[in-house]
Amino acid sequence: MKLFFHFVLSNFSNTYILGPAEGGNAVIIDPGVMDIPLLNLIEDNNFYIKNILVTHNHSSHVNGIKTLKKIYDADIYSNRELPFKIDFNQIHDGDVLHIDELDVNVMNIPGHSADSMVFKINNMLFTGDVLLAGLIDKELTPYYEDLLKNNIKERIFTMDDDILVFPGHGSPTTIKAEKKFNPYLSNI
Amino acid sequence: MEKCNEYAVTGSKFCFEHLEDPESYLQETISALSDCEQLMNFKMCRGIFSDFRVPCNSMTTSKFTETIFSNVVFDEISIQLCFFDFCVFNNCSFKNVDIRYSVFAGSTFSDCEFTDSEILHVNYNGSELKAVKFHSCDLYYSSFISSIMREVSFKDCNLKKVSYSNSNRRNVEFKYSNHEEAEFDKGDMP
Repeated sequence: MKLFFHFVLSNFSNTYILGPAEGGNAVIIDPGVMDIPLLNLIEDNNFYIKNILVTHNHSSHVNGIKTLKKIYDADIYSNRELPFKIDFNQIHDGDVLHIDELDVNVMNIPGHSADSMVFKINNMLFTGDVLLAGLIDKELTPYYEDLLKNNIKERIFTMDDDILVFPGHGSPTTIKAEKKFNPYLSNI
Repeated sequence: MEKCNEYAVTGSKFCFEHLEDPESYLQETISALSDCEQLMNFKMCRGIFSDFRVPCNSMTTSKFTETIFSNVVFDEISIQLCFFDFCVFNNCSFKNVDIRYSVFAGSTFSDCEFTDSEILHVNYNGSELKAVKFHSCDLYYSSFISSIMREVSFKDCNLKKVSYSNSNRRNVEFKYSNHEEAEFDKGDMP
């Protein structure tokens, strides 16, 4: 498998594409925008976007979907309705999606938003805005901050230390690095 | 064999320490690196490289956890989606490199130089840097959260959206650099 990332400058978010090394059906995670560089990335690697995974329905993570759907006949997986009218497959905590040759384990980790989903694919964890490198959402109310921290502690920090974390904003990280260095999570 | 927690992003089945003869594997690895222009989906845990010039032009989706690099030259290389977490870099050179979306979290750098380089979206969280130079580098959206810095020089750098939150800094200079939207909160800098 090949993993690619695309930085969406307009809203500082990350889009990920996961597909076979030789090309073919690929998965895109959080297409915050559909621009020419992203299209080139898809086409240059002979990918066909067959599935779209949405970590949560904030515009910075889904705004590229309408354009993407005009180009590719892709299925959308989201916990909640998107900000625009479009058909989607509703996913829930505990679901396992069998997408092409991938098993996608779905977790609902509320806090940043009620519909925040985390996708675990092999040793990769796509966390959206649930967990960022060295950060969590800094603008939460105390209740949601506690909820998020407890969820991270019980459901993410119990995974292997060397799971690779690919967040919706900023640089990638690992579970071990977040346990040791994330100042918002070091005392949980 | 006991369960191994070390994984590559994709690719190999074994980590360095679970091989029967890790030393010969290391030599084979160095030899393989010398022959390849593009390194992809490569994995190493607790390897040791010294007095070595990385010959490949690019590294992508590769992982070098807890590896030691001494006197290693990374000049003119492109590094994307690579994990150098909890590594040691001693007297290493990163000249004219393009590092994007990669992780150096928990690593130790001493007497290292990053010059004329693109270092975008790079995670240096929890790293320890001593006598390290970043000169004429673009570090857009990189992070040094919870890092420890001693005698570190950022000169003529773009530090836009760089985070130094919760870092401990002594004798750190930021000459001729752009700090727009950089974060220094909770840091310790006398």
